[in-house]
Amino acid sequence: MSSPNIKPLAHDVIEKKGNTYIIRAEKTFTQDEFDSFARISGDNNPIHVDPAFSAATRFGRTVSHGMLLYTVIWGRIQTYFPQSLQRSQYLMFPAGTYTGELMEIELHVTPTSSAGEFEIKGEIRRAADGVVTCESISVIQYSGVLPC
Amino acid sequence: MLTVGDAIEITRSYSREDILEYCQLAAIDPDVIQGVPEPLIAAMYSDMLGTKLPGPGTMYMKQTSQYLAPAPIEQTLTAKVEVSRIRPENGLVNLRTTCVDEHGKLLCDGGALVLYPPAKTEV
Repeated sequence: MSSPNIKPLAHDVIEKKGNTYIIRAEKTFTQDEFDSFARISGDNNPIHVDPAFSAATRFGRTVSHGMLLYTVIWGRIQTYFPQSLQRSQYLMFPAGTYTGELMEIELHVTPTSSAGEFEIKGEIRRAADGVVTCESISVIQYSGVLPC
Repeated sequence: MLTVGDAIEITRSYSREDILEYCQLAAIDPDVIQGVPEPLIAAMYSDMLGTKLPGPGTMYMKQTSQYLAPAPIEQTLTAKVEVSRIRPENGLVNLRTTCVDEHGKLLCDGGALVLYPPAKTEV
């Protein structure tokens, strides 16, 4: 059940537990997306875009830009809390994210004690083994319609 | 040799075309965009960390950012990373990360933690 103003992305699941909104999504990254993020951001580090170079690194293949991972979380925040203002972010990248592997994305959105402020805990993990590759805590200011 | 106080900066702007392409990656409607998306501000830091300071081989571990004002699209932004602490015993390096607009107004302030160089035992 979602607000008439907010259309969930296909395959996303949103539920409310207590005062927390939980958003679940899935995504498999592609090399085209790594290349696109490199083109936009200017970050052409070969560990993201050069498979031959990356084969000789500790990862053995290209890995996602950390900020491309956060982009997916950020996109969900923008979709379900449109026009929200980001106050702060805390990001951790404990492991590499590769192309062609199904990733699970989970956001927990909880109001803080401050009016109109929400704390969003985000996590991206590899579906196959549950390894967490991105953890985030974002604080947003939002006064619009709630997603469900 | 990496030293506390070492700093580097880059100046650029994000075009509307950049933002449109970015919206596809974020799976969002471009109409909701109000300024340069925050992950693209932070991407200016990670670009420098991975390619210039500390440079190739850097492992990006953590980033904290406070967003103080929106970053306008198509305006000059200058992002800077500056080494603030080095722990040679475990290869961890802290850097202050900032982004200012064309008037020098601080838009984003924060810090990064990186591993440099990566431990040689890891393959």
